[in-house]
Amino acid sequence: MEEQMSRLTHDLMAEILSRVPYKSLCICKCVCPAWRDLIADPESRKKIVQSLAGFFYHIPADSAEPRGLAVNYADLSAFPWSSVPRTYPRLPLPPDSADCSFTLKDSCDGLFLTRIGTGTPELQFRYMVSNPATGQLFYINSDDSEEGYGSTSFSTISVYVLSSGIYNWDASYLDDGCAHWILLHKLSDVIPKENFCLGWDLKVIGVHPHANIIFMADFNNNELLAYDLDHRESTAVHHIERTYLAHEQYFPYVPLLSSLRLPTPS
Amino acid sequence: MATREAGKKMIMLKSPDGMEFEVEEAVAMESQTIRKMIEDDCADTAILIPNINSKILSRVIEYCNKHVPTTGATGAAASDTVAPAALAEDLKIWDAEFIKVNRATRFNLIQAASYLNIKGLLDLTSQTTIDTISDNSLEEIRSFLSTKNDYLPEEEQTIRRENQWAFQ
Repeated sequence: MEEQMSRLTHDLMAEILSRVPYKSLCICKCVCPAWRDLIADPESRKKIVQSLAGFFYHIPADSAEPRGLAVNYADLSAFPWSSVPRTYPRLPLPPDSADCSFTLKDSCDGLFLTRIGTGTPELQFRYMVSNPATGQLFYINSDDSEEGYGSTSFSTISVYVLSSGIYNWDASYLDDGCAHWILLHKLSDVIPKENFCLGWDLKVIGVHPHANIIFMADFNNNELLAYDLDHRESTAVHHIERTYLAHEQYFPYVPLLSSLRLPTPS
Repeated sequence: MATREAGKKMIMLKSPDGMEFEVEEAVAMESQTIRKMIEDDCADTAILIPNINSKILSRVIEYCNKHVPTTGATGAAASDTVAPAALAEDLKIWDAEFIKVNRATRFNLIQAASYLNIKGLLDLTSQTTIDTISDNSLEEIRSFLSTKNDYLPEEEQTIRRENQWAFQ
């Protein structure tokens, strides 16, 4: 039988695949290698909706490679997470980062806010926003470089959509066209039957909207839990290393493939 | 079919199999590709449309005839008597009839709509494929779209495991 779909050009296939819901897209990856490669192709990925891909998280500083970058990446496809292949995204580093230390402060829509500590003996800080998907990075002007502690510092990052150019795919993001939240489950169904303090013992660190999974860090048992809303089951997917940064440890990563127009350095 | 009226500029479209179609310029300009050719003065007497055979081209022209905005003298009269909502409803029914074609024709229409850059026709023709992919299981997608599964067994196992949740 003639292969009908192969008569369509890649562009047309990408166009069609960009309009199917995310769940169907994941099934499409399994149809044949040609479809898998098309969906993975950077050009078509710009059109296709992206979802939660994994988490960046802090690891103890002594196991960091390169030194100072105590940040690792766990991909959702690698359940249960263990070692991560080199092809996974890494935080882009500035070229002059040999003796710096990096602390992730926040992430939003594929962009990461990182504090860079430089200089000896006196520690100085500056802030960087970077995009692992494109390798872009830029600095944010900060006045606290001399003070260090006690001065204002950045701790959150927000993305403002300045033009349709940045988010040319955002219309397809809500694939049912429905933007309001519905309470599906109460959290008491989710958690271990112990006393806990939400935001301290148990902290929601990310949501996979298409797979209906909520990710939570359970600091009583040092585990990362994936709670499946459809099946009402939670699975421990990762062991949490206790570090002093444990409570701000996990940063969800949704690839942002469009280029940002960077501010000119001042 | 729209009736031809005196005084309207006509354009000749030729398919590679030698058929010629005379259409109103406004109808031909539903295609952004042809519009560009006309605006750039590349269309003197006849425009050859490569890769689109006469059977498909005639269906495309049929679509454009139906969807060309009814402005101008006769168009204004028509929209006075028919409410826009009813007109849109009529178009929707017409579209649903139009797209009742076999798969090969549908893929040919997708290609033609893409080449000629007719957004409405591209949306209409690709929607069936989008629905097929969205509403069916992996095996059904493969069989409905006649896609050959050339994964090695272990490759398929890996990719299925990575996308496990989508099958639940």
